[in-house]
Formats: sequence, structure tokens, C-alpha cells
Amino acid sequence: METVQRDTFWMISSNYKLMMYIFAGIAILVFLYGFYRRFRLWRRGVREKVRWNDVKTNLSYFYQTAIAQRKVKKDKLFGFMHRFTSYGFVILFIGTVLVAIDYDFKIPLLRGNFYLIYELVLDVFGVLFLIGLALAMVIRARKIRPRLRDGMADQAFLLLLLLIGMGGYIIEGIRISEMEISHAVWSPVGYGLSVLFQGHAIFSGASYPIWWLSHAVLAFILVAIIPYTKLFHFLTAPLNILFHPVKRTGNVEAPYNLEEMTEEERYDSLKIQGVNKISDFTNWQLLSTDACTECGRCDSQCPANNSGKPLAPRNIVTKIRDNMHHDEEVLSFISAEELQSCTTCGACVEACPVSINHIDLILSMRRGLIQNQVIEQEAENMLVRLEEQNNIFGKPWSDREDWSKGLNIPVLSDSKKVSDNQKKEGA
Amino acid sequence: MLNICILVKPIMDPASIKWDYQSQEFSYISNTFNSADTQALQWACDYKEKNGAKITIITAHDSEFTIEEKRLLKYNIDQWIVLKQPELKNNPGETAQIIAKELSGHSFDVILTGSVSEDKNSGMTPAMVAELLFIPALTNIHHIDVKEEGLWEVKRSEDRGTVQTYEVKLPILIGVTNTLGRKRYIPRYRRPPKIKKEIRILEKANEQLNVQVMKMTEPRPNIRYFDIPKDSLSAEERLLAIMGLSQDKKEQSGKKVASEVNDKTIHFISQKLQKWLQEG
Ligand code: SF4
Ligand code: SF4
Repeated sequence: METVQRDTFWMISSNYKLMMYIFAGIAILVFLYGFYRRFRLWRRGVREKVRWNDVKTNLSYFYQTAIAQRKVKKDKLFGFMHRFTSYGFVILFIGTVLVAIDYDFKIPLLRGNFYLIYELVLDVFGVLFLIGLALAMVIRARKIRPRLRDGMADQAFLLLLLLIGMGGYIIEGIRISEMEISHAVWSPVGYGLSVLFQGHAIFSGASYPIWWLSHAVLAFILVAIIPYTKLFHFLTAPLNILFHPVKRTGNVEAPYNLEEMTEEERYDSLKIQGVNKISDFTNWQLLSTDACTECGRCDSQCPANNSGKPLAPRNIVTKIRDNMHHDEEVLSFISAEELQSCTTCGACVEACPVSINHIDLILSMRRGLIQNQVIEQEAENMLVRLEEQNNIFGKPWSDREDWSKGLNIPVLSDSKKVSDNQKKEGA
Repeated sequence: MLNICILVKPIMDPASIKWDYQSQEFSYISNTFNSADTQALQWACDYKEKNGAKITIITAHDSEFTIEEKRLLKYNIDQWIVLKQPELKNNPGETAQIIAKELSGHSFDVILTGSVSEDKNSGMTPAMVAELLFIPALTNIHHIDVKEEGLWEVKRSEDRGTVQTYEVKLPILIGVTNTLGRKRYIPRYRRPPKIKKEIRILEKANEQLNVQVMKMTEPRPNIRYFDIPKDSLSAEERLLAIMGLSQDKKEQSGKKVASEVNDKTIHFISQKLQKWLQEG
């Protein structure tokens, strides 16, 4: 009886095998370097510790955002597209990891019934993956979602993923057609293709190694470019959602508590001073900008952006990301007007599928603006008046009680007088 | 690099202070600094930010007066000289004396201060300081342009919208108005600059200075533009009336009086003048 198991290197000569391992090694090195390059930049930020309680709270949020993809689902068409591609990608990735465990680590996993189910699952998710990619390409080509920026690079990433997906099916189809495997029906797509490939020289066993190698090379190119492109969100988005200290929509907090700080701590606190240069952001804030997928949901919801103000929250995020390696003054690439245009409404945070907290970024830079006296004149006048007369209108401080004159309203005296009175009463 | 000295007067905020009849004492006292002086200081700090400068503040106050140091320490200054003297407030002219004495030991390129203080409103100290130091003084300045380090162009607005422009050579004492520039908000937790602070406790003045304070104010002209001067007026009075400088109260009637010069008043004055000349 035929043993049901995966023949990983069918028809592959040792030279091809060697080439694959060399490519794999290079791709992994390039990937690791790319990751380290960004990791080093995140570390320049002010260290903000991850609290495990936060992570626990984030778990359910992670499920809703990254797995159930509730935010992405709000846009139905896009929701289908993204779930198809992302679920497909993750399942195919897990499938590939299982192959490596089975073959390279000699742990026999892909055997018997498990292997059959494995083949079926991968085939089905592979189809979803391809449908999702095709949908994404059409949406971009026909400009169905105006919020998306239509760069050649975005289409190229999609094409690369599409070619990898299709390549996988082609080599599966050739393998089935050449090997006449009895359990081939468990890979329905591969089986269908094998029938089509019968008798075609280009899809014959002889050309199989070329298809196989090109599939591998494309997959390695993908691995290598991830940390250098917006595809990095495959990794940083889940990290950000899971570990970024909890800051949810509708919760605009000061990152400090003046009452708990000594006067000296207040002067030294970077958080009060705000962000003036890249390294004043926290490391998690910096990482969060690398999670941006440039989807433009934040821009499309932002009232400031929609009313023609010079603010686009996506640009804020991408400018921080793209200028991270310089550690320059933020004002050299983000204008004060952009930051001052934010109404802190939170629509962007609510819309962002990767949990970037734009308000948090904008407010910390705004704090920096105030420290540098870059402030709108009317707002500044108000602060000056508040400082001089304890009210925003600059009316004499002593007129404060005037409204209550003749109304017989008891007025609280200052504590000294009260205690004096109490003493008198006591006596 | 300019060496700038700013004279800042500590005062009780006159806008809010009130006499409390119940407790028979002042309430709503907040000790602050004369606003025009802080305008001069702000101008100096803005100049320093752009061109670099050394800024020294001199404050003189009664030993009993408590000053709100933070209000000055937040500015980007280099040195602060505090002069304290008992009963300074009862001794008019003494402030100028002690400031001039302190200043004579330094060599500043320019001394900036407010033209008048909000509490006494006399504008005496700056003029006296300049007099005692034998340097020129210009007050009521609302605009400063630094042409070269030693050559400034300053503007003073006079009544009726006239602006006088002066080109001045340093050293000089300049008294500024509250409209010199934009008041800046200095964030409370900005990293404070390193400031050298010197406090001089002075002896009580032995004798009262023989200074008599006289208040001189120019009457505001009333420009009447509807009436033709009466024949009964002398030629000089008629001319004054036409120019709007007459103080003949009887002639004033609400609508016909304007206290500023604009196109309308100029038109009527010229009409009246022509008529008067024809009559002659
Ligand atoms: S919080 Fe600011 S950036 Fe975000 S949507 Fe509102 S206005 Fe736009
Ligand atoms: S910040 Fe969030 S919502 Fe905005 S473009 Fe990036 S991923 Fe999309």
C-alpha cells in the first residue's frame, strides 16, 4: 500500500537543493538585518515598559482586531479581500513551516490522515488567498477606494504574492500529474491542474525543477523585502496591537500625573516637555508607525482632513516612520499647522486597523511645540491671560465673584481665615 | 554680542487689587512685575534667541515686598541683580538713585524698561536713571529695529496718530510701551536657564531726596468741525479753534466734537480754514 506522506524534494537534484538553502539563508539574513535596522531605531525612543496586565487586556482586543478583523470588516468589499489574503497567507505560511519541521528537523508530521487534511486546508486557503489578491489588484487598478494611494509598489507587492500563490499550485499540479498519487483528490486545485497539465511539455516533470526553484526564489524575495516595505505590518501590526500599552479611542490622557511628581521631576520629565525630536517618542510609539499599512482609513475619517485643513493623520504616521533614522527635530518634517489642526476627535484611532494612536503621537508633538513656544496667537494670549489674571478673558481676578453680588451666595474663605474663625467659634 | 540691561519693577497688580471694607485690608493682592517692563524683557529675549545677547535684569524693591521670582526666572536671562532697601516705597526718587549707582558699576550697551509703571504711572524712574548716568533716554517707544549692534531705529507714537522715528546710537535708555511686541507664554516646565542671581541688601536711605513729583499731562484736543468760529474771538483764538486746540468749553456740543484726526475732520478743518481766509 502506498504510504501517505509528503515527498518534499521530489525530482530536485542536490544542486537545486543547495541553491534553495543558499537563497533561504540570504533571504533570512536580509530579513534579520532589516528587522534589526528598525529595531535599533525603535530603541532610540524613550523606554516604555510593557505591563503584562496591558497585554492581558489587549488579548481580547487582539482577537477582535487582528483575527476577527472587525475594523477591516466595516468596509465589506475590502473586508473580504483582506480576510482572504491574510488568512490565506497565514495558513500557507504555517503550512511551509510544517514542511520545514517535517523535513529539516526530521519530525514526521506530514503523514497519514493529518497530511491529507493538511493538503486540503492549504489548497482551500490558497484559493482564498488568490481571490483576495485578485480583488485587491482590481480595487487598486480601478481606483474603487479613493483613500488608497495607487503606487506601483503596492501593485508589485500584490503581483509578487499572486505569483507565489500560483507557483505553488503549478508545482503541485505537475507533481500530481507525474506521480499519479492516489490521494490527489485531497488537493482539489492541484488535482484539477494536473489533469490540465497532462501532455504539456512546459508543465512536465522535466521543467518541474525550474518551476520549483522560481517559486522558492519568489518566496525568498518576499521574505527579504518584508522589513524594508510596508509589508512589515505583517509583523509589526500584531506586535503593536498586542503589546502597545493600552490606549483606546475616546481616552485622551496626559502621560503624566502632575500631582504625583516632585517639582524637579516635572522639569526633567520628557513627557511634559513633549516630543521635539524623534528620540523623544517612546519606543512603542516609534514601532507603531512601522505598523502603518497606508490604507488611508484615518485620512478618510479625519474631520480636519475632510474640511481642507493641512492635516492628514496618515502623513503624520508615515513621516515619523520615514524620518526615524535621522533623529531630527520633528518640525523639520511635520509643520506646526498640521499638529495644531487636530481636533483630538479620535476618528482616526477608531478607524485604524492596526491600532495606531494618532492622537497620542500628535499630542506629544504638540506638547513639544508649546515648550518651544510655537503656539497659535489666540491660544497663547489665552494662556498669558490665565497666568496673569487666573481667567482666560484677562478680566481682573478680583471681578471673579462679581456675578454673585446681591444673590446672597456664601463664599468660601481661604483656609487661614476659616481656621481662624473656627478657633474663635471654638473659644 | 549686545549686553542688555532690563529694569523691571515689582508691583502689586493694579488690575485686581481691591480694598475690602469688611476686613479693612487689601484683598486680591498679587505681586507681579510691571507689564511694560516685561514687554521690554520679552523683546530682549526674542532678540537673544535670534542674535545672541547677554541679558541682565535689575529689580529694586522694598525689603518687605515679596516678589514672585518664578515670573521672571522663566525668561531666558543670564543674570539677575536684586536691590532691596527698607522703606524704598516711601522715598520717591530713591529707586532711580540705587539703580543708577548699581548700573554705574557695569557697562551695558542698552538699558530697556517700561516707560511708565502700572501702579504709579509717573514714568519718573527711567528718566532719572538716564539723567544720573549721563546717557540719553527715549520713552514711549513702541517699535525697535536693530540696524546694527550700535545703531538702532526706534519709533514712538504721538497723539493724533503721528509716529516719530529716531535713529539712536547706543548706549541709551529706552522706555517702551505695552505694545512693543507679542507677549509670549513661557511654558512652566521648560528647562530653566542657568541664571546668576545676586542679591544686594542696601541700607535704609539716610535722608529723603528732595524730589518733587509733578504730574504734567497734555489736554486732549477737541476738534470741532461743524462750527464756524465766532467773530467775537480774537485772531489767535480763531486759529486755535480751527486747529482744534481751543478749550472754550461753551462751544462743545457732543456730536460736533471728535478727538481724533481722520479724513472727515481734516476735510472740515480745511473747509473752515478756507472760509476763514476768505473772510479775512
Ligand atoms: S483626532 Fe485629529 S487626526 Fe485624528 S481624526 Fe480627529 S482631527 Fe483628525
Ligand atoms: S495610520 Fe492606520 S488607518 Fe491610517 S493609513 Fe496607517 S494603518 Fe491605515
